[in-house]
Amino acid sequence: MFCLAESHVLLGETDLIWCFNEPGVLNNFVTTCDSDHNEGYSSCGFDVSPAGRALFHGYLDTRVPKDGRVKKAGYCALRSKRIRKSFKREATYNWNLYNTIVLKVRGDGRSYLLNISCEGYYDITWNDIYHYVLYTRGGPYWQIAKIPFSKFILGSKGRIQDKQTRMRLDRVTHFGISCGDKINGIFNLEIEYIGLEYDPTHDEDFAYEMYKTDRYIVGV
Amino acid sequence: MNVNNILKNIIRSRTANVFFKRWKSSEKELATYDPFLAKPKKNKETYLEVIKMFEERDTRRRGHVEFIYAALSRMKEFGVQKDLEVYKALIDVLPKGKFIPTNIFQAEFLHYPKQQQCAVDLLEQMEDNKVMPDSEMEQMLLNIYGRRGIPLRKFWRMMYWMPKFKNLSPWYLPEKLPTDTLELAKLAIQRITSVDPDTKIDIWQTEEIEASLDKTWVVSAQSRVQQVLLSEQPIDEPLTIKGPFNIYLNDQVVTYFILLGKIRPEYKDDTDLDDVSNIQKPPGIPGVIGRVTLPQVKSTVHEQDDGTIVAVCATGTSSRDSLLSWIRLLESHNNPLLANIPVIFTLIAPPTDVSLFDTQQDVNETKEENVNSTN
Repeated sequence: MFCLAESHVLLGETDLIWCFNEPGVLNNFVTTCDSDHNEGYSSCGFDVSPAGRALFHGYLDTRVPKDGRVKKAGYCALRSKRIRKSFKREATYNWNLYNTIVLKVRGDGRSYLLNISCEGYYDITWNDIYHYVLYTRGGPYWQIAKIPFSKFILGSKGRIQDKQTRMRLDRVTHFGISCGDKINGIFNLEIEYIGLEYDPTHDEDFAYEMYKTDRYIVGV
Repeated sequence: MNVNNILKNIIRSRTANVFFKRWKSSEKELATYDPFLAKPKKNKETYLEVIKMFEERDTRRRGHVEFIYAALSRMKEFGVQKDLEVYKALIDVLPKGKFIPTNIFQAEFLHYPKQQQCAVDLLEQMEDNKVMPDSEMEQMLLNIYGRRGIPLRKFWRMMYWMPKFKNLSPWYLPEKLPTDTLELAKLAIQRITSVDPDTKIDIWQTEEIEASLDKTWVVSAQSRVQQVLLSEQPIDEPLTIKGPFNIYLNDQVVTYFILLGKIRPEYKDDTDLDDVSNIQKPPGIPGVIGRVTLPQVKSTVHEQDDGTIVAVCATGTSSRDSLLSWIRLLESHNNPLLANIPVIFTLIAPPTDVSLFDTQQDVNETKEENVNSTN
């Protein structure tokens, strides 16, 4: 398990947050899909794979239920449970030492979305999630995806925001993966581990430049 | 929301209820004319024709917002949802100049809100269908809504983000995927085997094997490393064919199979490098101390912890007979060991059974195993 008191990090070494070699680690995650809320017909699960790893699998269905309320459907999501201190007090991950997230996965050629939620004080920030795409090769070979945190995009309720900011790495509450690429069919994403790394060659602070706009157009 | 719904709502409103009942009794029901439904051929030309018809019917173009919504919902039917030209034609329906705010109050308080929302929904449909707008569209929107319009903001957002993600995928795919299954299978196998650049992809016909029942093609991939790994397979340990697995290329699915060898043990080097008590002089080079050959390490990507992948393939029918032909074809292409090694088929619910050999077995079994010795 990842230690919060650690004050240094070895270069080029991946510190694992979740390693799915044991089935017990799967209990740290919760799956959600649109059929859970009567908003669609997708289904998903998070189980042990035949190779003894974690398998995020299910069926993505973009059919829209005819209730006159839902406009779009088709998502399956996986999210870690909230990290807690003693007496069930809420805590946050502190990932300030790292700048890259590392995943070892075996996918099916679909693209998935990585979601990192950070703690915010005001209620309008509660739906803020930082997103980035996880492209999978597909096939029987494992792949290691290293994604720097600077590339993550701020979205609120799934809408990309005009005013982008870097995420607060010391306030990370949840990590999740979701499948919603609008392609009907079965999906399979096998995960071996999710880890963090400090890459000294990556000195980018934030990947998205912001343009100067007229007043009251952006971020009001 | 389309024209039908609006008309239905008008009919069902309370004031018109009496008339509605009268119509029902007189057997003269109101029929709406749907220009999209009336078209016998559904393609881009007829779609653009309907838009032209709407533009020419009435100089005032009454109900253009409703028309655009109705047209947007019919795009998939006509197969034009990925066509930028069609979206431009739809935008062109809107009048130029009328919706541009002339003072700050109009600009601030959403001038012509329905019309603005309509254009935003159109742009969002473009975004969902991965259609990137161009600068001509920007000019059109500027002429219709002015630079303060909400659709313009949506457009600028799209032009900021969409190019960033357009070519982000590390596995390049052409914009229009080939419709031919063989070409698709080639793309899929190329993508799977991109881990090993040495991989050679062959396209074989099963006709080459005389005993084959299923005449189809096989896209097979094997690298030189995999050939070595296969030749090191002990004869008494069977190989397994696993599948069918799916790989997605955008929205197309290709089924592939893998040939798995035994799990190779991880190489362990227990020799103490600091131990100098027994240094052997290598035979080859006089005077050189140390090893001249590199240690054999489990270093290839093909050696995975659930088996060694020795070949990957996709066949035209994904049937068991075509896989059997694949094994024979592999054998005749530089893998002589396959003649002596038994191969187990572990196929999960095979899609089609062409082989006569299989018809004797219980087809209903979900997981079948039959050992096929090719002796």
